[in-house]
Amino acid sequence: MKKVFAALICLVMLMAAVGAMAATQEITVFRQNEPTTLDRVAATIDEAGKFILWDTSEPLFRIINGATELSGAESYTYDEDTMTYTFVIRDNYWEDGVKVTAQDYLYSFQSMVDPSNAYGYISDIYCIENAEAIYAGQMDVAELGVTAPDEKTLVIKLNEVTPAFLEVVPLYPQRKDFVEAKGDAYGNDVDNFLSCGPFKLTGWDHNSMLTLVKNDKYWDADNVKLEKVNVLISNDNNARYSAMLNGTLDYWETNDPDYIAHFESDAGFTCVDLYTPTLTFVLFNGQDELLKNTKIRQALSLAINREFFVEAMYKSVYPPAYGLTSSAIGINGVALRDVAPEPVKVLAESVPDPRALFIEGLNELGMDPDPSKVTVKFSISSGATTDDTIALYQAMWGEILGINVEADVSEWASFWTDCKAGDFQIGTLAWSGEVDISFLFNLFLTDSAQMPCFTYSEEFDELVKSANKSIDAQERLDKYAQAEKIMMADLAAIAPVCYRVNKAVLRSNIKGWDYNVFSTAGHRYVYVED
Amino acid sequence: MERLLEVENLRVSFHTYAGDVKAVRGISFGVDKGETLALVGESGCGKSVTAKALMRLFDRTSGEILEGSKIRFDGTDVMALDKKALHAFRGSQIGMIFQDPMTSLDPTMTIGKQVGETLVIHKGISMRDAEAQAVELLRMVEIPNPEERVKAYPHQLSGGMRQRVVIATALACNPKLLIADEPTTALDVTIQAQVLDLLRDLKVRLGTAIILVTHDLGIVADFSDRIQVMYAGQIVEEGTKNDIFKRCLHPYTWALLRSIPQENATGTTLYSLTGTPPDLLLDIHGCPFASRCEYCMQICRQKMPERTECSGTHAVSCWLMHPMAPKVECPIPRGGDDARE
Amino acid sequence: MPFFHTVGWKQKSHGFESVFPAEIGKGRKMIKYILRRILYMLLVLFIVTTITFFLMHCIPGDPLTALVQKLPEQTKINYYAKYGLDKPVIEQYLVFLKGIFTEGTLGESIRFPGRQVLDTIQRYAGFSSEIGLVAVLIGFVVGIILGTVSAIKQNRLPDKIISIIAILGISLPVFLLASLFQYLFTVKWPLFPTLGWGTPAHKILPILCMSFSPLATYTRYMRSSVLDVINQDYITMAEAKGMSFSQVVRRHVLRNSILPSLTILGPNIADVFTGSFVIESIFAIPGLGSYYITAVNDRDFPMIIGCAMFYTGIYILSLLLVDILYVIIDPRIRLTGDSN
Repeated sequence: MKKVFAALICLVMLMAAVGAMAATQEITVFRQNEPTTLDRVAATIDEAGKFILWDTSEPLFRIINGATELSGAESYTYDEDTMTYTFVIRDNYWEDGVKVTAQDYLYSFQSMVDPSNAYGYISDIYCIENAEAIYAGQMDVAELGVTAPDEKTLVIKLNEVTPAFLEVVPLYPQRKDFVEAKGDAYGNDVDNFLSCGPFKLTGWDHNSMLTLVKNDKYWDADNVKLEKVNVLISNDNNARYSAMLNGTLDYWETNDPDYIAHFESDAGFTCVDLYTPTLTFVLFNGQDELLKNTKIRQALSLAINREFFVEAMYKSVYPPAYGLTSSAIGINGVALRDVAPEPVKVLAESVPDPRALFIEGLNELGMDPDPSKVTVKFSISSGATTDDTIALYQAMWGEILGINVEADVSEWASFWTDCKAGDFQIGTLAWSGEVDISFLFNLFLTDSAQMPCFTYSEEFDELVKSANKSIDAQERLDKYAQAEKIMMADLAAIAPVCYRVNKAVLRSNIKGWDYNVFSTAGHRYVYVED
Repeated sequence: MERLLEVENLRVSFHTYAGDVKAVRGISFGVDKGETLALVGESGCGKSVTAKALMRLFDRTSGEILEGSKIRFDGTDVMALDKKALHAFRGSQIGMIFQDPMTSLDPTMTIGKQVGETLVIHKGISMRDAEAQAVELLRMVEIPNPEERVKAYPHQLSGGMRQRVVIATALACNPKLLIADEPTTALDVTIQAQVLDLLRDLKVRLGTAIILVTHDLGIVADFSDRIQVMYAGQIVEEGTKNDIFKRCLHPYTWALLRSIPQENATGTTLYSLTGTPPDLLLDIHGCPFASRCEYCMQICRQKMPERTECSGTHAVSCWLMHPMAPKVECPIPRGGDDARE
Repeated sequence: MPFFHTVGWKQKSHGFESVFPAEIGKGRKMIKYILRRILYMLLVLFIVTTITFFLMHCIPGDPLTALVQKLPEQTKINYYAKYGLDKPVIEQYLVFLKGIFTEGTLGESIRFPGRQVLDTIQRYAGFSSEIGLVAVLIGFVVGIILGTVSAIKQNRLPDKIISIIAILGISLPVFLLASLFQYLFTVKWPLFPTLGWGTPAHKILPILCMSFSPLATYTRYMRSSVLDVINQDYITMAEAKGMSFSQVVRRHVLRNSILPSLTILGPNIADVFTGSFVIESIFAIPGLGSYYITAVNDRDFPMIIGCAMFYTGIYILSLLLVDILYVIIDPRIRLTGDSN
């Protein structure tokens, strides 16, 4: 009896000790904006919505630490000749206990191509057979190249080679009966959403906070250590800073050198560089009277003193850019930058005097060769750094080329509308690449005209299109590198300025974080260390 | 018998950014029970200030009653009263009527409440009872339909009516002294006469002493027992109404009387006194009237004239009274004044 | 209060004076007045809504511009068809009106699919007003008191201190104050939660920050108003009656000097609903302000119209409220249409 008693006491003490040691597995993160909806196939699904869905839904594949991993799919095969993927669906359950089936994934695709849904990212799905025609209302949805022969099998037939298919196409499931019952309201509130991912949505104070709690019905629940994730909606930097300091927030991203300095010197926090795929650049209107000349564009690009710019604007937190992408973008872990040097840097070495080049261009155009008689209109969208940016370009181009720069500031929507209509001369903006390297290059294709630079090149088109169709990673990278050189240096369709690199600041007892900018892992592998 | 009000060496100064404006420069006078005293003088002579000083209405502002001033009312030293006693004193012992009836009443309160307020404060009764008594007070000041008017607002009454209300308010607690600061200046002539008649009646009925402050000699003759003429903060001549109208001796008083338009003086220019009153910021050596006086002598500019008592009731402060001064004829015709008596 | 109890009110020949007493007359008059004002309000609301609707469609950009980076032409076509944006503006307007009058709906938000504009406004206006109205109330009450004290102690120490507070309150931008307070009171001295919503503790800092500006405004207005009133004859007369100065302030000064402050109370109330955007962003409060600003930036047409209508309604309602208060406080002011 005494022995049993003693053993019990020991057990209780052990449990207590363990309980005391185990840290609370709860973290608080933030998003800048309120998610527009949690309906993955809605027209206006935004980044915040997708972010929540990584935790509350289960795509067939996830990008984890830069690599594409099986997740909702147990296994898959790809037939090169028929361009068909066959996925085997894992055993997984919705939060209400119903099994996740291949029909759920199929239903998601059918919703995406439904014209009445007006799904915005539809061009990602055009690679699937008949998707485009169905979306344009020309074919019936039954013709879609996605089928579910049984509960555990999903078959997707493509109509063209798509190397980045698994990374780009949204392979998320949706429950047909639930979605139809909720109608338009699906995805706009806690009661109107069903989770099947590592976490489930239990609370949503709109514009304030979302609460995610571990989903016990998830197939990999045993490996999910976090019990709770709070997502604060806060778009004020100072508020987030205060929240980090007093423990309300556990994760932050910033590019402010002062804040970074503070956190780097504090042992309670971990700071890690985040290489984003965002490029800040100057856009030239290749149809403009002045800018249709290549030498003019090159001279303008070379006359940007990038080191000076990033030091003045960002205290060098952002690195200068001489190419289309930073090390953030590549194929299968090999960055484009690993394969080729930045084209504009190479150009600069061969052109020591941008001013002379500019005058050459003026002469070719038959214009007065005196740069001081040239006034360019510099368009920019209004924001916090607008005035500084304008001043810097006026200084750089004024000093190095001797030209005059007139600023034209407008609100983003107006600015972009004008740019797309070709109603500008020189503009500046930032653009983000995607996990699929071809995305950035496709912007400049003659027939896509997504980027209104109005500078076209057949050689570029050929290189990019063939790279898009190839499966050989090395071959693709080489072709993209050549295309980059054409667009950035030979034609100077745009002038790269800087890459955005943010600092992730994390409380030092949080582990398992995925710092890759394209990660879709959510908080599945994150945990709080004791 | 002790006088109701005894004022000795009253000096009042206003502290401004430019300096001290010495509005009242050491005056002494008294008022008997039931008596009517008129304080006469031009604008800025200090008569209104004197009137307000009797109730120490300057305590909150930049005005100050200087040390050495003595005010004794019915045996009480007014200067020595503490705040609480002063509040009990005002309104119940002395009442005051103001010049402009259009602005003397609170526009957002019914007249019944305003009249009754005095009663509530001093008699401690409820506002409802006070309003009931207010009806009687309004009747006393001859406002028609007082039961209805008691609920009216000031803007619903004419100027003359409002002045009556002000009078009712002042007399609500039956004070021993009523100070009327230019009560008819803002009213037209017919209403003027009515209000004065009312005051006269009340004076007789209630036995209230009245200090009437005015610049209008015309109303003074019928109304007051004694008259004091003030100039530049000092009293230059005082006497009964006969003393002043028939036997006045100060050149300023002469000027005032000459300024009254005569009925039968058509075709002649109206007399007006030249010059302006002295700057009250400065100390004045000598007679304050010297710069404007026709009969000014050298000594007038150097020394303040002494107060000469001509009779039991009549006193003048003028160097012309000095035995060594030249004899000056009063320039005002004395005839025709009998009608005024 | 006798609205038409005037000099010369004749008694009817058969002695009607008690059959038609002042109080019933007043009530009837007031109701007629309110009904008439409501009618005008609806007219103004209609006009403002119409103008806003057409103006909104004149701004370049549409709900899609802000959202996706790559937009195939087909998405645009499908999207416009889905939300009726491909129809001419006048037809969209009529559809909008039809929605209001036949179904009582303001439509669905475009940016946030599935969220009904009317529901959203109802839910979140409540949160915004919780903070806003309390802030205005505090600002008004405290401002009135401070302004009065400041005027009474003119040029002395209390006046100088209060004037400094007032100037700070007016000149400091609200976001500066809010960030400062947030840092001071949640980090340096952790007394309140930094962000979020839910408990009364979450509301204290936002309300405090929002009340500074109205407080400063009312202090200054009241100060100048009281200074004016204190020099009036009827105040001296009140003192001559034997009232202590604090009695005079309470009974005569306050009532007469509060009108200018009341005038701006109306627009102030309407302001707090829009101005709360900054506070809501900083303190992560689920209020209407951020919905409105986001809607304008993203060209969420139904939301813009809905919010614009809401704010207009609040504004003119507050004007009505102020007008009624005017009449109650100052008997010289009459309702239009009074026979006197």
